[in-house]
Amino acid sequence: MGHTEMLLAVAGLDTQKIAERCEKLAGDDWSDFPAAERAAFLFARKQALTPWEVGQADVQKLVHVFGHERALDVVWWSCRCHFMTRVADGFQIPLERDNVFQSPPAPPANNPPAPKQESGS
Amino acid sequence: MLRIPGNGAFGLAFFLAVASFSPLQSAEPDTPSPAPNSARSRVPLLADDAAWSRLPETTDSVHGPLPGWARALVASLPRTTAAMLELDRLYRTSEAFDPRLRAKLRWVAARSNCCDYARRYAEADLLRAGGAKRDVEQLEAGARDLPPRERAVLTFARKMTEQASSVTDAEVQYLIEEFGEPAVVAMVLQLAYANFQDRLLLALGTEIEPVGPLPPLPVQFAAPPAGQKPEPAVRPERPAAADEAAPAKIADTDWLSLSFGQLQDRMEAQRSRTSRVSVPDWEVARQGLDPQVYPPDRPVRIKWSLVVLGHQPQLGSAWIKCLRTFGREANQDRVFEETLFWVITRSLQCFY
Repeated sequence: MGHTEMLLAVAGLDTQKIAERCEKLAGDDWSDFPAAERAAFLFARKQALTPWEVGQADVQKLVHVFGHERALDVVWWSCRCHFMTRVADGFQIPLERDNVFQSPPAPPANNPPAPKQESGS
Repeated sequence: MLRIPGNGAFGLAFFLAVASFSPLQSAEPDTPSPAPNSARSRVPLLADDAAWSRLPETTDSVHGPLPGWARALVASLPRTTAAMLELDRLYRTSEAFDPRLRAKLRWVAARSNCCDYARRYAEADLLRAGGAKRDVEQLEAGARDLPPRERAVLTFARKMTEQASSVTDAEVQYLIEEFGEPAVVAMVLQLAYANFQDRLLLALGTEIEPVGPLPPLPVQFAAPPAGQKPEPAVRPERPAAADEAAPAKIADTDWLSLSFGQLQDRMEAQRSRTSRVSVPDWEVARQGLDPQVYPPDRPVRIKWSLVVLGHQPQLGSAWIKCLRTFGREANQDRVFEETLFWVITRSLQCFY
C-alpha cells in the first residue's frame, strides 16, 4: 500500500475494495465513479500537469456538479496534494510497511485512548 | 505526461537533458514563460471588512487589507483561511535559510507555474529581505551569474516544480553538503507550499491587489478553547449531476501507459528506497513541538511527518495545522478525498 491506499483503509475500505478501486482508476473506464467525482479527477489531473491552463470553465464545471462551496473544497484539496507530493518526491522517503495512519494497538486500560488516526500525509 | 509552459509535450529529450544536469551545471531557466490565462477572480470576493468579520477572533488588533485569495476563500472556509494567513506569514518570513534565496526560490517556482501573482509577491519579498532590483533582473535573465550553490538551489526549485520525480539523489546530496539538512528540508517545504499556493491562486484567478503585493500579515488568531472541536462548515446538498457531466471513458494515452500491476511494482520499489534525509525518531522530533498538539505519549509514526516536524518544527507543524483545520471544516468524504489524491500521485508519477 502507498499512503493514498493506507488512507483509503482508514476511510473504511477493505484491502479488496481498495485494490478494485485503484485498478479501475488506473484503467480507461471510470463509469463506476459518479459523474461529479469523475469531473473532480479530471480537474485534478489537468491542474497537476498544466496548472496555468486551469480556467474559468474548469472551475465552473466543478461548481456545476458540486455546488459553489463543495467545489472550493475540491480545489483546495487538489492543491493540497501538491504540497504532500513535493515533500515525498524531494526526499524519496521510503514507504512504511504497516499502515501508519491506523490507530496503534490499544493502550493499557488506565491510559487515555489513542487518537483515531494520524494526520500529516 | 508532464507538460511545460510554451513547449507542449514534456518530451523524452527534455527529460533526459534535465535529468543529466549535475548540481553545478544547473544554470536556470531556459525560455521565458508565457502569460497565464487571464486572471479574473472566479469566485466572489468579500470586501475586507466583511472578510474580517467572518474570520475567527484575533489575539491582537491587526486588521488591514487581506490578500485576494483570503477574500475568496473566507466565506466558505473561514477557519482554514485563518490558518492559511498564519501559514503564509510564517513561510514568507522564515529565516530557516537566507531570506533572499528563499524569495528567489519562490520566484522560480512561480515562474515555472506561470503564476504572475506569486512571482510579483516573491519580488516584493526579495526586496523586503534586502535584495535589489538587480537581483530580480538577474533572475529574469536566467540567474547565470549567481554562485554555483545558489544556482543549484534554483535549478532544484525548477525541477521540484516542473517534475519533482526527476530530482536526483546527487542533487539533494549536494544541497545538503552546502546548506545542511534542516535548511534543505526548509527549501523543500517552501517549494511544497509554492506548488500548493500557486495552484490555488491560478484556480481562483487571484489578481494582484490594487496597492500591489501586500506584506506578510502579522496576524495571530485565537486558538479555540481546549477540548472544543469546531463543527464542520455547513454545506448545501450536492446538485444532482447528469452522467454526461464528465466522460466515463479515458482516452489519455499517458494515463494508460502504466498498468495497475506496474503501478504496484513502482510502489513496492519505493519501500526499498533510502531516504535522502534522516528520518528523526519520535523522541527527537517531538522536542520542538507543542505537547498540547503533539502529546508525547502519542507518537507520530508517519515518516513524512517525522521528517518535516523533526527538521522544521515551525514550518512543518503550521502546514499540518492547516491540513487539520481544513479536514475538520470541509469534512469531505474521505474515500473521495483519498481517491482524488491517488489521481494526483499517479499523474505526477509519485509512487508514495
